[in-house]
Amino acid sequence: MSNTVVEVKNLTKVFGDVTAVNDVSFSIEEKDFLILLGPSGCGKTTILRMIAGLEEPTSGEIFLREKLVYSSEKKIFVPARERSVGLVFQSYALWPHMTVFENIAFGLRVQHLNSAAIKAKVKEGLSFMQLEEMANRYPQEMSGGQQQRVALARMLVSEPEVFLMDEPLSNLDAKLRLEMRAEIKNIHFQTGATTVYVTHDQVEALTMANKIAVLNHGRMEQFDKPKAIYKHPATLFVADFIGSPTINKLKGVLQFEEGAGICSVRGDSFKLVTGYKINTRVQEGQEVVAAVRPESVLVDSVKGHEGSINIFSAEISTVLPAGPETILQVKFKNYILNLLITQDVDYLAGEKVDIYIPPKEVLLVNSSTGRLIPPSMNTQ
Amino acid sequence: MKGRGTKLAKLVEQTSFLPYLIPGIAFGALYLSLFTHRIGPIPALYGTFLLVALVCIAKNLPFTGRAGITSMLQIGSELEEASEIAGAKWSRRFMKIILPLSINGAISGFILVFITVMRELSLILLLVTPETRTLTTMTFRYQEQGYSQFSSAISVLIIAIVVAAELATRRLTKNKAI
Repeated sequence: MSNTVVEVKNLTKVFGDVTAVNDVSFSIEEKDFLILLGPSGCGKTTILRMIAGLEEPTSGEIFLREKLVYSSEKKIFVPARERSVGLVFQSYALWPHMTVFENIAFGLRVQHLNSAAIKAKVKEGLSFMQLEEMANRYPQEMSGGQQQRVALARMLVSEPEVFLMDEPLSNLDAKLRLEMRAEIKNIHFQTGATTVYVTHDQVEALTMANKIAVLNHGRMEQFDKPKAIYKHPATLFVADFIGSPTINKLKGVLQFEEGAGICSVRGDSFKLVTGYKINTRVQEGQEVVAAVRPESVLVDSVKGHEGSINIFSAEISTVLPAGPETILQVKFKNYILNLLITQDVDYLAGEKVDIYIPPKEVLLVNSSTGRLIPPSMNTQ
Repeated sequence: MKGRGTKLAKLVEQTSFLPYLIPGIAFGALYLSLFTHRIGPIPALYGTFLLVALVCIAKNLPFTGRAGITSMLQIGSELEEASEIAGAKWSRRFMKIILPLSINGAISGFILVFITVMRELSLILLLVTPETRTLTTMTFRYQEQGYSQFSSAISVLIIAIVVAAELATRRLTKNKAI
C-alpha cells in the first residue's frame, strides 16, 4: 500500500535480560491516530522512542513513509534528527532558558529558515494554540496546560511527517485533561497528521484513537479499532484492561444444551446460558471464563424475562452514583459483580435485587490460553 | 551524556579521585620529582607557573568533574532529546541547550575550585620558585622570616579576593531565568 506512514516489523528491544518489546509488528496509514495502550512497563513508550529514533531496537525493522529508518539485518539506523518526526514528551521538555517564542522557533532555525519566515510560522503556531500573549514568557512562568500547548505548537510548526506523543496529558488535572483531549483530537482533525500516541488511560484510548494497539509485557495483545477492541477483545487481558468499571468474570466449565444447540457455563452453583452455538471449536467440559460488560447486566428489569434464563438474585453491596450513571457492586454467589446503570433509580446497599445477564452479551474466554473464543461463531 | 555508565566512564571518574586521596605535600613532591628533568617530549617544568597550575588542576579534578557532571545531569535527557527531535546536530545541541543550561553549575564548580586553590599551600610549597610564588607561599615566607604583619596583610588580601570572586559569581548566576 502506498499510503503506509509508519510500519514496524518484528520489533524487539532487550534491556539487559529484560525483553521490553517482544516481536511487535503493525502498520498505520495516512491520518491514522494510533494509540499504544497498556499498563506501565508494557513497552509502549519504548516502541514510541524507537519510532522516534531515540532508542535503538535490538532487532526488527521500522519504515517511515516506506523509507527504511531501522533494520537490524541491514544495519541501518537513521538518527532521530533525520527522521522528520515530532515528539511531545510527558514532561513537555520545554527549554527553560528560552522564551516560548524561542522554544517554538528552535526547530525552524535548525532548518535554516530566514527570520521573516520563522517569525510568521511561530506566530501561526502561537495563534493556533491560542498562545499569542505568551510569546515572551519563559516556560516556568506558565501553567501546566499552557506548557502543554507550547509543546504542541513546537511540534506543529516543524510540520513533521509523524506526530508522536508520550502520555502528554498525564501531568494535567482531570478537567484540563478533558479539554486537552478534545484539543488534541481537534489538532488531528485539522492537520490530518498521522499520530502515534502513548497512554495507559483506556478512556483516553477509546475516545481519541481510530486504532489501538494493546500491549502487555512487551507483546501486542490486539491491534484493532477502538469499538472492536471493546466489543470483541482478543484476550482476557484486553477485556480486563479496557472498560471502566472492569469487566465481570465468572469461572466455569462449558456445558452443551443439546436441545437449544447452545453452550452454557456451569459454575459454582449457577448456570449461565450463552449465545455461543455448539460447534467443533468448543468442547463440553472445557474450562472457560464468562466475561460480561458491566453495562450489559440488567437490574430489576426482569419482568419481560419472567420464567426465562439467566436471572439471578443478588444483593447490592456498594452504590457509587456518578451523575448520569451509577456503578453498582452486587454480591452474587462468590463474586462481586460491577454493574453500570443509567436509569435514575435510587438503590440502597443491602437491597436484594434480581439481575439478568442477556446470553448474547456473554463473552467466553478459553481458560488455558486466555484467548477469547471468537463470538462471530455464535451467529453462524 | 550517552557515554555515561560505561566501564570506561566509571574508570575515568574513579581515577580522577586518586590525587585527592594523597596528602598535598606528597603530591607536590611527586610532581617535583617527575618534572625536574625532561622526560621524552615533556620538558622540565620545574620553575614554571604551568607546573603550579597543573598540580592544582590534577588535585581538584574530582570536584570540577563532579560539578560538571551533576549540572549536566540535572538538565534531564529529555531536554537534549527534544532538540535532537528538532533536527539539531550534536554541536548545536551542546551550544544551544546543554551549555546554557549547565553554565551555572560550571561556574559554581569553578568558584569552588578557585577558592580552594587560592588557599592552597602544602600542595604547591615545594614547586614554587621566587618567580612563580603565590600569595599563600608569600605569607609562609614572610611568616618564616618574622614579618608577621606582612603575612597578615596578604592573608587579608586573599580573603578579599575570595569574597569578591564569590560575590561576582552570585551576581553572574542569579540573572539567568533558571
